[in-house]
Amino acid sequence: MVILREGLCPGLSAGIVAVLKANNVKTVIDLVASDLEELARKCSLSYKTLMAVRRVLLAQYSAFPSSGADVYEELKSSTAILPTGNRKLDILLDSGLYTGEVTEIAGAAGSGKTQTCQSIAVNVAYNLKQTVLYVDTTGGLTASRLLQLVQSRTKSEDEQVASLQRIEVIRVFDIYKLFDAFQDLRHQISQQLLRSGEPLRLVIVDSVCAVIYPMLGGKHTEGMAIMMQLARELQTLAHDYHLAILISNSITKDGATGNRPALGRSWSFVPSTRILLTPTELNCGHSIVSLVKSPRQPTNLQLDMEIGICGTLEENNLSS
Amino acid sequence: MQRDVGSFPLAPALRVKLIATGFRTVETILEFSAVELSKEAGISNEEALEVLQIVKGEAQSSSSCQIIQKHTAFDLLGQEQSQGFVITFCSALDEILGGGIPVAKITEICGVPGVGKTQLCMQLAVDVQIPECFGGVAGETVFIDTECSFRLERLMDIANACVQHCNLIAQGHQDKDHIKAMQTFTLNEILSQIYYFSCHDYIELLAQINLLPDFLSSHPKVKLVVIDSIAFPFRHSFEDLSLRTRLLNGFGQQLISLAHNCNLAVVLTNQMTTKIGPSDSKLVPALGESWGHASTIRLILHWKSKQRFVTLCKSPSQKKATVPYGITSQGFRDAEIAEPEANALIPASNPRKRPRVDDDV
Amino acid sequence: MDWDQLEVSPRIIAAVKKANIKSAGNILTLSVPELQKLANLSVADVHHLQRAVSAVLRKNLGVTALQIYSEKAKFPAQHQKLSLGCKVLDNFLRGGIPLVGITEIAGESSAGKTQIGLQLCLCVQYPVEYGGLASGAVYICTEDAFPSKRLQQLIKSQHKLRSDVPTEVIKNIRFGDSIFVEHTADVDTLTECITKKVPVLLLRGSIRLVIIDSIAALFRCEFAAKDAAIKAKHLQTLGAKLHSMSSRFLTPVLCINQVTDRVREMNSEQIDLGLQDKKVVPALGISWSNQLLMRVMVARTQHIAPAEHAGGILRTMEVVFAPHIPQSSCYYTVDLEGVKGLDDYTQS
Repeated sequence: MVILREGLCPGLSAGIVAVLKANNVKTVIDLVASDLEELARKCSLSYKTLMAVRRVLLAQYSAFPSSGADVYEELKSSTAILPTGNRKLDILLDSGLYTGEVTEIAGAAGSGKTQTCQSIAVNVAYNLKQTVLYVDTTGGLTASRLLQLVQSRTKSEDEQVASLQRIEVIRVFDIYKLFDAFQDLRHQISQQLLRSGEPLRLVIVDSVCAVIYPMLGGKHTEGMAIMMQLARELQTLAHDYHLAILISNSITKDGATGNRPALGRSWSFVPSTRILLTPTELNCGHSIVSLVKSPRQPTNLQLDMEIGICGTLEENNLSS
Repeated sequence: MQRDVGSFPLAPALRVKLIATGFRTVETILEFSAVELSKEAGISNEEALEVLQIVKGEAQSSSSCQIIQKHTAFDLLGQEQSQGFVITFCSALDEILGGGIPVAKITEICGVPGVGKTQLCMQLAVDVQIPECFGGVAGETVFIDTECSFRLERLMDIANACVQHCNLIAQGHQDKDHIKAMQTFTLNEILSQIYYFSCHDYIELLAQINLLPDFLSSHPKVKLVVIDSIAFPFRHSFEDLSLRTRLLNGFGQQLISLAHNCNLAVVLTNQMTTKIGPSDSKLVPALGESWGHASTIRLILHWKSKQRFVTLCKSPSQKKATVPYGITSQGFRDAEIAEPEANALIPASNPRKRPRVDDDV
Repeated sequence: MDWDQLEVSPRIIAAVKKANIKSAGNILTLSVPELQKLANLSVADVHHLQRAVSAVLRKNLGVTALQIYSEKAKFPAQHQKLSLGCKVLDNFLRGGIPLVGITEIAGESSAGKTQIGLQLCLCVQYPVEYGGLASGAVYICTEDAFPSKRLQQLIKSQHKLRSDVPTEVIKNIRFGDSIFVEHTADVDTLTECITKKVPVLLLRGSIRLVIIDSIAALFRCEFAAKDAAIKAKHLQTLGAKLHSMSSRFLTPVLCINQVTDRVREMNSEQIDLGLQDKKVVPALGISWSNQLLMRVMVARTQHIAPAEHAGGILRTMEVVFAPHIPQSSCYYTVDLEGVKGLDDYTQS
């Protein structure tokens, strides 16, 4: 929605804008949507001028239709699948995290969400040699742990340092700062200021509920608005810049169906893929990972995943 | 580069007016001057100025004007390694924690009454002051007491034992730094660096936390904030549990942001409660599921027959582990099996005898 | 509250007044977006407002532990304790019962719980220099009738028990007149009693000690096993009330509790409170234990105390937990004069 003002396009003079405003036509949409003949009569402006203005505005602001084949081609060239470094998790996610999508990991406290996030970050930074942006809202990220994870991949110190340098960390503890951080991110991507030549592919937000929970409550509506704002922000970021966005969420207990990801129904539309971590009682260090929502896979897939010294990364690679 | 007006901390009525007039994104607003904006959106000049300030990120509020800092994990690693730990004086616990209670994180200590939560808190309040040359962090402590369980005489026991311990080291090594440090590491000095606040209900506690940033900026040496306990004020007088959840979550975010911005360790204690499951009931930390996310590290203190144990059940970098510990007249220590010289004073194996006889004589 | 005393810009105060927010507590408990909506303020303004309100609501500025240590008169709760009227027991408990917090004495029947309670009722009436608080006590009975006969007996033999106190001091205290006895039969009456009657007495300064004998009786009969959650809630509320009363008036609260067989309790809740070697555990479970500052358990032994301690059955007093005392135990006896600890006695 753009406000009409002088100089927006040739022919739209200050006089015309003022007259239009007086007749309640304030934005481009208002103008485009109005009946021009009637408008011309009401404002005593020339129909021709208005038509000319509208044509220019339409050319400038309307969406550009594209064919399905083009979209598919573009998707093929822009979509990347980032493997998580864990075979089982990859099976569940249909080979990894997709760019342009929001993926959510939900789980109770201590179920291994942060471990999973950190492992994936390390895998992308080390194996794929790509930059990762890690937004930490709970203070849970520990660099020494990241080092441990990288050390389980490689013994070379140079590579360890290089991998750690590819993981960029932002710590924000309230939602408005999170928005600021996203804005910074947009700015950077659009100016290609990211440190390495490689484009940013993965953004991790651990966790979203930490910043949203304090906002919700009472009559809810206001907090909900901000939550939905965040939802939109995540989706547009993922889509516009071809980013894979990984977020973590807590769970709520539900009498009937057991555990569900938190933040309710309206949030459930935000991530396109959701997985749920449930620690197993018998087998310490193992979690049941189940797919709750996915656009590609049948849900209810369940796998047993080990979260150990190497996080969710698979052991051994060192020998090779 | 488009950013929604909705994502700015504007007053709601202003936001509604702006959006209704057509100002959806920041870019459209930035093209206007304050006067024009006020005319366009039908808001007062003052409001328009405020909007522009907030949108341009020039809001005067001290809390929100800090620039977001971006670090690589490598930079953070350096920071973390220089931060150090607050040691607990129980070497087994220090080991499973990777060195002690970490700075810039929230550590939650849960346990049944009498197992030693307050003891550990008082021990940490003293330990954080250990001079740097002894491997301490030489910081000060803020102690927020909600249960009135802070006992000065016990604190003095612990502080005296700690001073003695450091004295022994200093004498053993005859190091110049050590001896110099010991001149200022005395009981009075320790007591003067513990700031004690008492809170009787959750409103007072919230107020105290809101004001803590100001206190900390005038006392930059504070390296440890203890809240003993978080559970007590929040476990009664709440009809509306969703309110409690929200307050606790906000509280947690405030604390982690303090811990991070002021580079200090936050230690909370929590009670245990019985959770009645379908088949059996078990003991779990109080305050509900979502509170579990607030702390970065969670320790559970518990008994197993006559021995006290501590379990690390949540940590970002260390694996789960359980080790025994003991509480002696000097404070929080290793379990006696591991440290035979400590049990001269406390023969816990025979509770019928009065262990304090040795002290009194 | 008077909003004008807040140190924020008049614009914000006007907004708050207009929003019709009644209490200052609300400012802290409402979420930021809600406050924004109510008062129509920006987030920065809301933060300013919350800080200003916090400054008003905060009751005390911080003190250093050194100040607490050196300014004894200002912090009586950390320096003064209520004596038990016996040197040995006082030494054992590091001075006596702390002024702030709930102290529990648990034990089987006839272990001597009530005897200790009665003795404290008398001790509290002595002047401060003799370990008392120079005020009376309220004794809330929930099960049995108040043992007034035994009290009279104790009053008569005070000069024998308290040989450390000059006789004229003892003579001047009218012990019987400052003990207020209440009988309550259910939880509601008890709550009524401690929220209405007791605070009046406390405000008047007529009492500085509250004893409830026993807390378990009420909760045992009123709640069936399936009402565990409601019972826990009641216990928490009661504990919080007693606690806030105690800290507001610097008044010790002593709760006498019963014990149950450990085996029976184990079925319902697997709680290990470090009492594995005991056959019995204090009643009411963990939700009550969480409210306590200090727990003392008393028990009878099978033995007779040696003759120099006037005979009688040997009993044990054990500190289960307290922030300032390690787990430890000592022997005591109850005789005509009252409760007495046994110094340096180990059973051979």
